[in-house]
Amino acid sequence: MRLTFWDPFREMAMMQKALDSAFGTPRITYPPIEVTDKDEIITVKAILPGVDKSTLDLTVLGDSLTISGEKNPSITEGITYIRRERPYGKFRKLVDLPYNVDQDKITATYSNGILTVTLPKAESAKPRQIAVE
Amino acid sequence: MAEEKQTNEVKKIVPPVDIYETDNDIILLADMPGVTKENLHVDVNNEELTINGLFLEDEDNNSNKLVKEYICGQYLRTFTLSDLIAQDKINAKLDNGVLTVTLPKQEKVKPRKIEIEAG
Repeated sequence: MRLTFWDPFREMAMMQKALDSAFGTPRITYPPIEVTDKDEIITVKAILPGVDKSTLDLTVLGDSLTISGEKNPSITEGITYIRRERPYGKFRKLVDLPYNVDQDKITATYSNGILTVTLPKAESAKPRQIAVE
Repeated sequence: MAEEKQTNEVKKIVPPVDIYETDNDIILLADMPGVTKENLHVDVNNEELTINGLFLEDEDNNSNKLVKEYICGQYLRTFTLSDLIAQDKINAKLDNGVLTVTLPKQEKVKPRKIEIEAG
């Protein structure tokens, strides 16, 4: 006799997959990013034109980076809008990193409307060779 | 064949814009992240304003791309100018990936306060 178990989690994952394919590619949350890995250093670039640097907040926990901030119009009074296409408001994005990073060695720059964060791999995440005595 | 050709061309990006009016000017803001002053051109020609900027890709074959949610390429957009704009006084500024074009209105269309003479 063969027993088959019903796995509700598998069923749910399958349903999620079916939904995703029905609605096309998942929506990209603001801001759009690029993540690259070179020589054990991860570079995250986020497209953030016209953001006040002081509103930007970066948080790193283990192998995830959170980018949050706020973008507001510079003038709001005494003007009449003819066209409004640029996004405004608060944003928050969670970026999954491929490995744990060294929190003390993270650097970030903001220029030409692009935020660049470099995150070196944590020593604890690097492979170690153990000598056999 | 046509498709193959397209992949070799620089991708076109339509920059999102805000346009608003003040008493004296029409202001145009365009998001053009990744563009430097050297790669940006703002032209006025035959009642048309064209903004044109290049967002170049970092060509590094040794790095491993894990996520890519945006495209690099050429920002390009053209606007028709109203004849109420003083075309010779247009100026542009690029700051943190945002292009600001100030289009001053001609004197005759600016709001005026009319002095009332005492009779």
